[in-house]
Amino acid sequence: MRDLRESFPEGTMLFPMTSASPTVTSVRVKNLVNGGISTFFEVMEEFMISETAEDNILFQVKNRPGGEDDKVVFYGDHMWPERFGTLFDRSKGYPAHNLKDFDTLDNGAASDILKELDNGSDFKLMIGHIIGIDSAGHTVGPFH
Amino acid sequence: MDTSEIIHSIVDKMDRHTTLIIFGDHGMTNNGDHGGSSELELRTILFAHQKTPFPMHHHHDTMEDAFFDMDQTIKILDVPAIVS
Repeated sequence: MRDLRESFPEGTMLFPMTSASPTVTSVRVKNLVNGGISTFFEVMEEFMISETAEDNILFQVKNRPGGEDDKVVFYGDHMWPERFGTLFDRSKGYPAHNLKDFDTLDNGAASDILKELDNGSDFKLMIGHIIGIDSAGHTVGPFH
Repeated sequence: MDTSEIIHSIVDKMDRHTTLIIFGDHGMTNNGDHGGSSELELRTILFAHQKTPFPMHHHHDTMEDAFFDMDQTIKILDVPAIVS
């Protein structure tokens, strides 16, 4: 990312960002699409993956005026298709439970994403969620 | 592929009408754990790149300057609004 900044600073931005509590991925994913915060009760529920019922950005991409044909696609952590599957035009989820496997999900999702770009980038919103860095942190620590 | 290679291969194939936004959904402690509310667990970054200039551009000379300029910290809850 550093070299992208240096080669084309006008098209590159970097900000520090503050996440929200709890820093648990399933809760973060849900809040990322609905822009809200979770109550304590929801946090308990969140450990059981279920389809979301709230308004969210994936729904709004297609339901704004003129957005009927806009495509939303996803590749990466399986919890997204399990939770938002009906809102994606194309998606592929990879299991994310093996913390010692840093590569299968990331490489699979990366190859899916590159295929989308090769096929002409006809999506309005493409989401990729890779977890190699998270798994590496859990397994061998953050300074690996 | 490591994450940096993935990012570069995506940028190589991106067209001029696409914006790439990369962010972490949480940080990690010095043990690599997360779930709580400590500063290390909450701290992450948002990076954006496109092949045409952004309309407004406030840029830091180095990644380190950007990271430590906490006046500009954005909140993860704003990500849906940023994407839209």
